[in-house]
Amino acid sequence: MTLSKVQNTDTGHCARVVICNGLGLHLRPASQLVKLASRFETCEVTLTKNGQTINAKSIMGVIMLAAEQGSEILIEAHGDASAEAVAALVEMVEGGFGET
Amino acid sequence: MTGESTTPSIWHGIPVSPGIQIGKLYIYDPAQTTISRRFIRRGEIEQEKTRLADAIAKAKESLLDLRGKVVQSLDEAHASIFDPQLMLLEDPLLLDRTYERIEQQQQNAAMAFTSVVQQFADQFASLTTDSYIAGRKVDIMDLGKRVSQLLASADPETTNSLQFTEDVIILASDMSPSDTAQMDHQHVKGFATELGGPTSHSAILAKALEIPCVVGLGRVLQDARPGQVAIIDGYEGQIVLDPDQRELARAKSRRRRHLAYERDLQKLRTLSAETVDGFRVELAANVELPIEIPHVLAHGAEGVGLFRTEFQYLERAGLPTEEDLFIVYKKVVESVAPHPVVFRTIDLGGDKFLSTLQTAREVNPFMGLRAIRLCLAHPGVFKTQLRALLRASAFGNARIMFPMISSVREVLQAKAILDEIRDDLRREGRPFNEEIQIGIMIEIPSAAVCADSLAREVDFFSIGTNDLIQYTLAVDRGNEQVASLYDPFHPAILRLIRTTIDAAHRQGIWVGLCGEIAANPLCALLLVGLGINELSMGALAIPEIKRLIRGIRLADARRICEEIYSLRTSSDIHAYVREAYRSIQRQRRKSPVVGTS
Repeated sequence: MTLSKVQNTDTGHCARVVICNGLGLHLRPASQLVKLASRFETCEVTLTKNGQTINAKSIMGVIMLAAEQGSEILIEAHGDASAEAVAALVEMVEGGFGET
Repeated sequence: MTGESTTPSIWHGIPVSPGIQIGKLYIYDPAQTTISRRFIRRGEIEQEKTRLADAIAKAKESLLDLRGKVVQSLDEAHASIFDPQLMLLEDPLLLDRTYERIEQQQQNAAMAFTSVVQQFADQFASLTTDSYIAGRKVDIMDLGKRVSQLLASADPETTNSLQFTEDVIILASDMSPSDTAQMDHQHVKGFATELGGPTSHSAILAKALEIPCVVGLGRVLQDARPGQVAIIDGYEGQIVLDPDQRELARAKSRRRRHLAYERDLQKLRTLSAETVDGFRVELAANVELPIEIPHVLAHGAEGVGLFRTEFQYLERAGLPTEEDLFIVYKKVVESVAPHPVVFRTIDLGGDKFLSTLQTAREVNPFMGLRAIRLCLAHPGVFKTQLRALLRASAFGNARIMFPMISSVREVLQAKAILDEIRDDLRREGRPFNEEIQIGIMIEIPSAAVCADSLAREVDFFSIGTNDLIQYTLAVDRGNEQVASLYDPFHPAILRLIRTTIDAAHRQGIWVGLCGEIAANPLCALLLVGLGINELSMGALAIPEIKRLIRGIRLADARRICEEIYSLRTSSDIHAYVREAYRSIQRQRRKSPVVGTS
């Protein structure tokens, strides 16, 4: 299901997701997200919200997005296993980081 | 030592990690720790960058070390409190800018790191007008500040104040994982904090490090001086500042007693609570948080007689989902199996209320819309909990108990809802225990009086004496002016308990008790005499009550109970039972403490 959301880009893959957990990307979900993104060591992962793009492996960056509930985020990845990286992040975000 | 000339001051908090220690106070105040800020010469830039890299490596190492200890003593979920701190130390964005700052502004590592964190925090606050999000600026600043202190302390050039040469007890307003990571654990003998509860970072870390910890002490810092001698008591949950010789001697003897007691505990743990003449009482524990379970099992609990389910509703923004609850309940049931866990359904209202349910302000909340009444008024919330409970029942020995029952009608209503859910789950093909036991709390006088009718509808009773006493005697024990009237030995209370136990037994169901009196040896003696089947209490009391039960005969306890019903005042009853208990104790001393069977 999540894989269908993942689209090809020139250099890798991307997907659009909506933050659905109640408190948005606060410290705990942000650190879960960074942890997951960092697992794809040889793949560059970025998040974009309202034209601001940050490195998904930076906790500071992710918090800086100030992504609250309902905001739309573009996940992009290029490098090794970019499709898997995007799919895994989509699943985590759409699963509400296990908190809803 | 100046202990002789000053009066000891005693502060009470919440005991979260056991042990008794004596040491000098070290007052930890992160706001007062200054980070050395200086500008460096051009020639020092490379050296400063290397120092930052070394400090980061060292700080990471100490955080990872503590994290490992928490994984070992608790679990991965609790260890994740270290993750944001660790991530900041690896953050590409943050580190790039810090190195840049060292190079371009010629600032030393600590100053560069702190300035970058400050920049981020300011930028963050300007990003949003949402006050909730803006409030998180504080989180970032706090995190950044604490990590920069950790960095500073890991820097060999900094003289580190958190390395100790003698044993200390750390006193702080609150503590974060990175604060603890800076400390030299060899000499840290205890943590005491003004803030915090059983799940705070300090509590988790102290348990992992196996040192005593007391949290929630209130404004103790205003009274404390650095270097002052203090006793920390992680059993009672108190600290004593400036103890005199008497207090010190008492602490030492208490420590000896606890050590001996813990050895005894080991011996008692696997034995059952059975009287000399073979009457067996199940001793269970009252539990609120899943992390307490290893602790209660270690004290020899044969199950959980009262699992309070309110916590999962209180520490969050919205209502928990079925899945949230299911995960918690399943974990609890699995970790206690094969022993039973009695889950008391939501007992909110009264003193705690659920803001999301928008309950009306009540003049007298203890007699208002609470517990089962609240659940029947909000069946959606109730159903979510019952579904999660039934689903968890497939994984062990779960039991469901409804609180605040005042009439048969409420039991029938609650059971009807439960039947609906059973049908739903069967249709969905989800497994649950078809034989799950359903019980009720007997804590309202009307329920005790009508216990015979209620007994036909359920599989067990649990007598909740805390409320039963309040409601029967019309005494609010939080009100100092009448608190002395709160009296478990009042003849009316003992009669209601006897009525309830007899009614249950006539109907062939078991009956337990989960109020504070279960842990009172004199009350326990009477309850055994009345034929109680289960006593549920705080885990710490279990060994003592087990020892008591193993030392008495049911026949003697019964005889004592018969006598007291002819006594008319609670002071006469109390005196009589106390004397009877003393004579049992005298006999017990002649026989071995543990193996009386």
